[in-house]
Amino acid sequence: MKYDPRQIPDGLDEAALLALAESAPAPGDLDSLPPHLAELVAGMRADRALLASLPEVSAPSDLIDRALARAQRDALQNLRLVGERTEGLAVSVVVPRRPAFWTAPRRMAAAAAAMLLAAVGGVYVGVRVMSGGTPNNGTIAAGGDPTQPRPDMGPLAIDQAPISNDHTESTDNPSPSPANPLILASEGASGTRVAGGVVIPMLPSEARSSEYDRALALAREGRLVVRVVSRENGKVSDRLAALADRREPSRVWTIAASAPPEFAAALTNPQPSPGTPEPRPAFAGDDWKIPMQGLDESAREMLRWRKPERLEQVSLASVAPSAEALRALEETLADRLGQVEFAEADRPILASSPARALTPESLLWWTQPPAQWSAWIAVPVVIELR
Amino acid sequence: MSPSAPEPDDRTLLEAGRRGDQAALAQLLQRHHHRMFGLCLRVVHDREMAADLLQDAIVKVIHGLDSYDGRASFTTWMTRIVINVCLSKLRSEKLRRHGSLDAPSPTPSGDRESSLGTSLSQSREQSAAQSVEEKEDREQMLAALSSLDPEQRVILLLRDQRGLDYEQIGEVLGIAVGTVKSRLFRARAALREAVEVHARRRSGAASITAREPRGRSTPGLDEQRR
Repeated sequence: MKYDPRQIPDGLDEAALLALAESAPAPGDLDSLPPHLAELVAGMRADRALLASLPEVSAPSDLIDRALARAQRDALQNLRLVGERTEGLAVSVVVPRRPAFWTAPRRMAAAAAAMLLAAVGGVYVGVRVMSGGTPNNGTIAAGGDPTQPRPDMGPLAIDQAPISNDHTESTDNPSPSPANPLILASEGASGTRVAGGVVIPMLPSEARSSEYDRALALAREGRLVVRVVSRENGKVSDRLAALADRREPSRVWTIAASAPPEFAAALTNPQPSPGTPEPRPAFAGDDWKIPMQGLDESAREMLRWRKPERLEQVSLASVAPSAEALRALEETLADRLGQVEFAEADRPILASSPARALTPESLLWWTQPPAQWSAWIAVPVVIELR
Repeated sequence: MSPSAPEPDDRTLLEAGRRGDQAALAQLLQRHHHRMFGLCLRVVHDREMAADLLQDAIVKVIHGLDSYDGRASFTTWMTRIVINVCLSKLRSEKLRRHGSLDAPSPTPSGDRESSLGTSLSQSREQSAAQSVEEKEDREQMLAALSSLDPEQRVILLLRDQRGLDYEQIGEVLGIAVGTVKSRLFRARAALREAVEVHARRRSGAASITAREPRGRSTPGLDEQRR
């Protein structure tokens, strides 16, 4: 019987007939339909039941494995095709796995070679020491004139040569000697003229760790000045006050909103002439001065103080005696105030004042971690305007 | 005896497969591939072709895992891919046949029927106690089904074999529910007509067989009944 939609009477439609065909058979449920439609719906019900009863079939057992393998091949082929887009030889971008170079036998062989080298080196050093030589070519054990570089000094040894400034020249413009490591480090940075006309060679703020150590040594002697060059006129005091009153202060440094008057006066007034005896910090003993390797004492005596041209403010920082503390102070000042440089004064900034800072942390030293049970150092911070 | 761990659901296996877990992906595909193969086989009516097409579809599923957004169930999504692959193949075959009128049909009816017979013989649920009449009814149904348009076969199989509701069928075929109902009713009507045609042929063939001497038979029908 061929189905003809025109045979559907009014009041019925295909959706209604479909609903009847897909419903469960019930006695008399098709009685309201014309005979030919009732026969059609009944046949549809039978077909539906027969279709539903068709047995399941099994797929080939290896179908999934073959599909996975093909998917992998396709992925690799796509990679290869990407590599073939350039003209010329087709180069696969699939790099085969290579065995690691440091296999266990090679590792053992390398360790044995290292041990052998260490043993030979130890024997060599021992023989040199026993025969009176030294494995160190530095200036510590070297005899002779320390101002003259030894012939066996390599390029690194030049940095260890002492300062040989020509002091006959104007101190306003000290000519840096290539042999002066401090001056070498300051090349590219402007020489700072801190209070009274002292020309202070600058250490770049990106100083290496050894230069932080040098700055720390200067700080211990009371001769380190932190110079901050700020472009923001009128905001320095507020920012300095904010740094002084931080809610979460640093554990390795503090800073005061302003320096004691004697510090400011020492940085802004002329210092005694070079002929006067050099005063010592009150807290220091006879060995207060830390030897600055490669620096000539007489050369530093020639430097004079000079007022900074646009001094904005003088403050006093207190830092833990470590290079890391100096680095942390420098980073914070650079972040909040301006360009930071470390400067060396030729003598302690304030001869009668101890370099040790009197801060709550230093007074209550037992409240600090044991690593910080050492006196903090006072460092003047000179803020200039550009 | 400890209770066995529950089977991970499709989504869990899918996520694991996306992360590169090959075993989870294989488990997910194993879970569905028999039913998908049955669907594919009854759409194309050729076992070898069905296996090839399902393999194509699975590869597309694997490559498209990242694009699956989870709005439809994984079963619906995979079914859509399988159906699209099968229908595309049948359309291209139809175009190819129309393009070369002199060429013989690539899938002679004997192959189709033998494939169906093979699939039936491998049925997991087939039992030796099935009556010959039921078996003939099913073969007749399969023959009628194979005479329909592929789109009609698909919608009938999705509804009656896979048990999808109208919304799911609409998601698989990308059509509205109203369209699903309309096409489904037309497909049922076409199937009814094809079944009656095959029933008349069978009854006619049976009467001819009854008049023939013992020992002679009709090869095509034997192939069907085998």
